[in-house]
Amino acid sequence: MSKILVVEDEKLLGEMYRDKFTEAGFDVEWLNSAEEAIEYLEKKIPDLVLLDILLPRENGLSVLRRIKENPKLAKLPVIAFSNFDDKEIKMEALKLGVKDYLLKTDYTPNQIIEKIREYIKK
Amino acid sequence: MFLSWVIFGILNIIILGLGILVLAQDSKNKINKSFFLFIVSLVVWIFFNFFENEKIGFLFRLISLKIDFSIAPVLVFFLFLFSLNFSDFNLDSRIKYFLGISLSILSLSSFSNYLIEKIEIVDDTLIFQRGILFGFYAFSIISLLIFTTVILVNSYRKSSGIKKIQYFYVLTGLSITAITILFINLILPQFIFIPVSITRFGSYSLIFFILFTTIAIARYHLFNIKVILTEILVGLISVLLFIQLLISHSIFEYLWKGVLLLTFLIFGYLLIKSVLKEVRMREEVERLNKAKSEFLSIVSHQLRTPLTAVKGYISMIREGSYGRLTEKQKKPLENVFASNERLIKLVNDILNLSRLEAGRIEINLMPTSLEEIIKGIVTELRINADKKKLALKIVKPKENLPDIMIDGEKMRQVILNIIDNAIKYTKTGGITISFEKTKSFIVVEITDTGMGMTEKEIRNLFQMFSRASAGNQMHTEGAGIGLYIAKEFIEMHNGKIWVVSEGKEKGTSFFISLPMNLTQRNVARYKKIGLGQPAII
Repeated sequence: MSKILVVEDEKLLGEMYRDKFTEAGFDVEWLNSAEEAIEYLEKKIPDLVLLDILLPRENGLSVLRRIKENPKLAKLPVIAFSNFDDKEIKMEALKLGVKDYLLKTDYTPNQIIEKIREYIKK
Repeated sequence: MFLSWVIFGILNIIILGLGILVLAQDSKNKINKSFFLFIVSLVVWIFFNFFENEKIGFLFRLISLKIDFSIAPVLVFFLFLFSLNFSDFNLDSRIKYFLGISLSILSLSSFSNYLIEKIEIVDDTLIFQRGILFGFYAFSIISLLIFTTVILVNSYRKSSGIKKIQYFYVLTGLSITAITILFINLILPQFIFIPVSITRFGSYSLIFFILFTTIAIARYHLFNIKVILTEILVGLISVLLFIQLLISHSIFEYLWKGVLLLTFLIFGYLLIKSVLKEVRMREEVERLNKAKSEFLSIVSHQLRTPLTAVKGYISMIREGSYGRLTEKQKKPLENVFASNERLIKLVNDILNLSRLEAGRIEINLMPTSLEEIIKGIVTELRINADKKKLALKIVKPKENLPDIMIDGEKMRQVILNIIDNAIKYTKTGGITISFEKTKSFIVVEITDTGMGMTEKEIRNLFQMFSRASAGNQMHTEGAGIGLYIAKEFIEMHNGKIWVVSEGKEKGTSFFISLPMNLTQRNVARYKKIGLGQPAII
């Protein structure tokens, strides 16, 4: 069973993704902040990270920077998703190695699962 | 000789004046400071380079030559610092100090025989032999110039908008000047004899740097010194008029020159005030636009969150995540989902519109296959067409279409909007997409067998908040922003969009024409004219 780390601070969305991804057969870990995600990744390595960019206090880019600095996480696929479609943030995220940058309103949870399966396979 | 001294003097005054102007604008800004230091060292270098080739005493020429070689590494170092600051390039301070100290030592070596040996005058030209350090000296200067150019070129590539244009002009001016000076004054003399009249050209090539930097300043607000330029101009003319007043010969002359000076001072003051007002207004408009854009981005984000939740949960209910749905439940859920999609599109359109108005939309060109974009859209929308039993087909082009430089994301948005509308406003028949390739353009045609439009409706179709009557009758959703945005996006690609319809119930054809040879440089640029409508420049 593939393990997905979902980093999402909005309770409404976090619950939704957790429920749908669990139903689809993934082992889901849902965290609310960049700090929690960084702490988690120091101890465990999931199969994929679904990372919200706009988070309270530190944003998702800081998680990406930590992932990039850690050689153990070099092959960890990260999909960034956000409802904040700022071009500069997107470019920065892509430079930091995200596999994809999704606008949340463009995708149903099922469509995100398709993306997850695509990147886990790779 | 006198004429060459005058020309040389004017050149130096202009260059030094430029440096002082830039420093005066903002003496605390490190870009302005490093530019000023570069200019000062440049003026010193020009001065001594000039006099080493003048028919004056040998000793003075000898000293001028030594100082010329001594100041060149300093000049290149300050140019390098300017490029670092201008590009906001982060270089470890220790490296900067190391370079500074190394170049200082190299600079001092020009006073020894290690750099220049056996200086003599042949045909009024100073000739010297290279010392053992000369190769290293030339290598250091050329390497640092290359590094400077790489930093500026790299920053040019990453930049956009007005900053990109500023980079272009500074880089062009520097490149022409640097290449000319290096070639004529440093490299070529090592292989052949170059007379003074030619080596002078090296110094005078600085006019290119001044010219291009001045264009960047005057037209593209480099260093933001429009106000100071106006003040200096008014000041200079006032001084001239005052001098004229002082050398008057009669009371009558004093009187009319005094009136002239006073009138000029009043109008000069009003001119400076209006330039200041214009600059402040422009800055305020830019600040407000930026604030508005940031506000809208944040608001859109906040609006999108509940919309994402609705989209997600409705899709999960429809997929059976919360139990099987009855037939009676399916249609209302479909309607809720569709309404939610409408709201999402509206938020996207409003954000795009706001960014267009603020001139903050950029086109990112990548080689893209239009055919592949359209195939993707057709796959996505086929389900909508099938529900209405409409045909949706692509006519394969007669010849293979090349990939063209377009912003794929924006073009997808445009074409998706048009095909989606075609499906909405067609009751029976279908939609056909076809291509035509001319010498310089690819034309996409999207034809439907739908409700058609009158001429009046076609005329107003691409205006903001405009909708054809079909839109008002059949699909009341849509604020009439989508086609306005589509037209703006296409025109930013230097393309065209137009519509043909033979009238009501006779179908509609949308045509999109895109150039095949678009580059980032000839993308149509948007500029706000005062507080009015944006215009393409």
